[in-house]
Amino acid sequence: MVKKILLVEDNREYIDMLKTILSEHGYQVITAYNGEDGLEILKKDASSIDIIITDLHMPGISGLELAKEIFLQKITEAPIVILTTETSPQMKKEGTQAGIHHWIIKPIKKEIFLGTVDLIFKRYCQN
Amino acid sequence: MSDKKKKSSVALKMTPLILLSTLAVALIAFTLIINQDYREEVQEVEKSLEDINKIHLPPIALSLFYEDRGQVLESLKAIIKIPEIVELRVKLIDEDKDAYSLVSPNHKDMPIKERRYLGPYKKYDIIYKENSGEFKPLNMGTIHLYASLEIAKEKVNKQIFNFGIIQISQVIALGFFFFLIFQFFVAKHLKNMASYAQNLDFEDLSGPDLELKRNLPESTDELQDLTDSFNDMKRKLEKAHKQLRSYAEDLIEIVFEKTEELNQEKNNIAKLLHNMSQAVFKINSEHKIVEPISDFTKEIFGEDIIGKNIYDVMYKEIDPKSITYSDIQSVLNICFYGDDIQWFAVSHFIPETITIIKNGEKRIINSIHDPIFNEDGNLEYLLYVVEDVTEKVQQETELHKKDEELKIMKEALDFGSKRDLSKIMIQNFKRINNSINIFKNFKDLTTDDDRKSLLIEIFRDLHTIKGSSGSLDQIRDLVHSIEEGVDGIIKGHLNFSIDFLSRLELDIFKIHGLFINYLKVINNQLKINIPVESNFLDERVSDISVFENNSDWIKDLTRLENECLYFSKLCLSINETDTYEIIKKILNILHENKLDDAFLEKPGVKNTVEELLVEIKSSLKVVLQKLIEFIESSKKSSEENIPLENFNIIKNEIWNIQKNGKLDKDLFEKICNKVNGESIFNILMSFEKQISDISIELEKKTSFNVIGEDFLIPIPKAQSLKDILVHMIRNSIDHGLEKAEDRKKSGKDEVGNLVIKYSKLENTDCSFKIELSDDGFGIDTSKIYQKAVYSGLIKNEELNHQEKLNLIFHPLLSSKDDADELSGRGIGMDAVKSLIQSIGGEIKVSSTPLKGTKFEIIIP
Repeated sequence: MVKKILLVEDNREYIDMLKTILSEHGYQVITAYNGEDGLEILKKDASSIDIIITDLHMPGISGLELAKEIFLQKITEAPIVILTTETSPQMKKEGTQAGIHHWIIKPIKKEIFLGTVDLIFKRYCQN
Repeated sequence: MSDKKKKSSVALKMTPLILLSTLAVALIAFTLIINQDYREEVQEVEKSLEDINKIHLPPIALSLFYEDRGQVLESLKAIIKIPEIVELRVKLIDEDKDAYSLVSPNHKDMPIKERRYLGPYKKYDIIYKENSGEFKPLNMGTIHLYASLEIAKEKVNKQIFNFGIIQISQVIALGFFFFLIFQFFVAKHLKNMASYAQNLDFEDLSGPDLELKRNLPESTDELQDLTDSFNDMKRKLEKAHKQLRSYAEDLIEIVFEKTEELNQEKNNIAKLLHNMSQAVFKINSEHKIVEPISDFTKEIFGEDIIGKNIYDVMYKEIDPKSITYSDIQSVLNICFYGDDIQWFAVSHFIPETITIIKNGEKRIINSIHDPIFNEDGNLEYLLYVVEDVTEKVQQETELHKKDEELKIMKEALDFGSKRDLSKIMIQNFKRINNSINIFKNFKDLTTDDDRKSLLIEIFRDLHTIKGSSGSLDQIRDLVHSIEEGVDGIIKGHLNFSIDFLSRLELDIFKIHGLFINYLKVINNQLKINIPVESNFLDERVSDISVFENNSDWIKDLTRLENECLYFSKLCLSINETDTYEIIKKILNILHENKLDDAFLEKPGVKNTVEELLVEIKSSLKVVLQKLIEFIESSKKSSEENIPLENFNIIKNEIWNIQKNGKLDKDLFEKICNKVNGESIFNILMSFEKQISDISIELEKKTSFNVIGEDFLIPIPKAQSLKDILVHMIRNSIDHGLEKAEDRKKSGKDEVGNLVIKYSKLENTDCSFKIELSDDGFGIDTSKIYQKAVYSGLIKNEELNHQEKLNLIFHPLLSSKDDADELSGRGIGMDAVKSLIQSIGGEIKVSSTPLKGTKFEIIIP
């Protein structure tokens, strides 16, 4: 069973590191360097993507806005995970309204990160 | 009555069976006999027929020959008169019809068919034989004889009848007698047993045993066996009863005890809960602490925390600008109303150990966090379980330090001889000081080559130190790690940089600090006195006065930085790692705000930095002073002569601790105290000479034995012990043991025995018990008693054996002069007792006349 993740993150080094971690753990990773590209990919082939992991602060549309778009346009029901260095209550509120499932705080701890992704996959993607 | 019924029913069952069997046997016998009889009768009849042939037929033949019909008829009539014969027929030769036919008168009316089958039938030829034998025998005819067995049968019937009568009477008689016999031999006793059992009182089985009233005593048949087993059983039952009763009584006691124990436990648990050093509370999505909370929160935080914000309670001491603070905020903002996966993803950002200020003092807190989810699986509350571990942490740190010291002690002890250790430490410490000096000159050097040659010197020093470190692992390892870097520079692998130099300088100070540590442990704990010479530290001494005067530094960042660097190096060089960490923190703050000149003007900052530095300076001053004292004393004091075994014993103890990993503060102190202890075995054995001298002096023969496992006792205690034993041993030989001849006379071995048994008291460090016993003639209690009465000590009171013995400790009875008068103790036992009591010990005496005396001393 192919497990596909869409990674949206502007920092090239960081996204490469995440991609390596995830692929070594058995996930197929599609990358996008900004929100718009991510949206494009999703519009093309939403059904094959199981989880969307996106950074919060990006040039162009933010991770939050990306989530909002996905939610409003009903592109996919795949769980959306936000990577962020910090969160305010306001942000959390907006995110929940935008349909963000989970928040991951940077810097990530490899085992916890992978564990979280696995748990999300198990609970929300195996239907 | 059931027993009667039983008895008779057994008999009733048995009787018919017995009788039937007798009957059967009789019947079988009788049948055989009857059969035999009957056969005999039949044979009789047949014999009779034969007789007729032999006796009656020849005359008939003769009569027939002479045709005397009348005679023939008469003879035939005679034959028919024979009772067995019922019919006869004679057929003459050459005739078809019967010539004669006679029937017995009784059977005339019987039909022929019936008559002729009443018995055997025989046909004989009537043969006439001439006497002279001239003529051939002549067959005159045949006679048919029909016999009857009626008579025989009648006889047999009569016999059967008789048999029947006899049997019946036999049965009746037998049955009756059997009944009586059974009644007398068995049933009576069974009834007796049954009524005994019936009347047995199971409450009280102590009554008389069952007895069979029999005329012949001592019969050991089955009934007696049954009686014996019955009585056995009764006794066992009685015993079991008693046990059960006492068990029940014990049980009540046990239950009582257990209840007491349990109540105690409960109280302990209540105390524990009351003293539990954990606080439990929870916060809601607004990050406020809500009811209910555990009582102990007040203890930990020093105030009521309900309704307060978690940041104010737990995280006040964390800098709001720091990453930690921001992370906590992020977690708390994110996790509420998230699911368990969300909690899993971020919970690790909440710190588990934090510092709070309670009543003005710093406390270290451990906290565990547990999410509380509602039915929908969303995090509604966050549970905090909080523990004040300040003391624990302190203890652990201290213990860690002790552990480190133990390690050093072991390494030092493993090194080899004290002299070598001393020498190496002095030499290598010198080398490190040398390297520090070299570093001072570095700043003056300009060329790479010059620098390189100095580095080579430093490397040489380090290399030699490493090589000669032997078992001093930590020194060796530290030097090794530094040495590599230096080597790299020399060989050209690494690039020379200022950065490298500053790091190297710090490292060399670290080595210096490590050496100081080792020297402290070796001198203080192992009492091996290595004189410490450090130019570097001597110079720092003069700096102490500078500390107090300087306050301008705070205005100048650079100067502040330099001061901090200076202090950090100093800390390293004297192994003050905690202070070093604080200074590092200050340096970090300074680095982060380097571009901000106005930084120091910010009120909070200035105060914090100022406070910190004052703290640092004052603590460093104290540390330095102590260190100087240490150095001074190391140069002055001479070495204590500590026996090698002590070191071995200590080494083993350290090894054990390291293996089992159980170190505590007291243990550490105990080990250190042992360094200058004395082996108790040695102390005791040292009396051997004294014993031998005294024995010769007093003309006695003594053998001396010391029994026990060796351990160390502190020197003052050892001295007291020696003083005590000197008196007691003399006493024992003088007044305890007899002269050789006397001993022989009383059947003892010529050589008297003096035995000292010693043992450490359990669960104590060096409290011990000593038993001094001799096999002399003991203490004569009557003489002591007399003396006591005589000297007015007691007034004819009744004293038991032990009390009389204890009199020897009384000063009045211990006078030297009377010593030889008495055949008991004399010299200063009271002095001995006070000596023992003055160090908190006790002494007991026991004695058996003519056998010996034993003293028990306990020294705490």
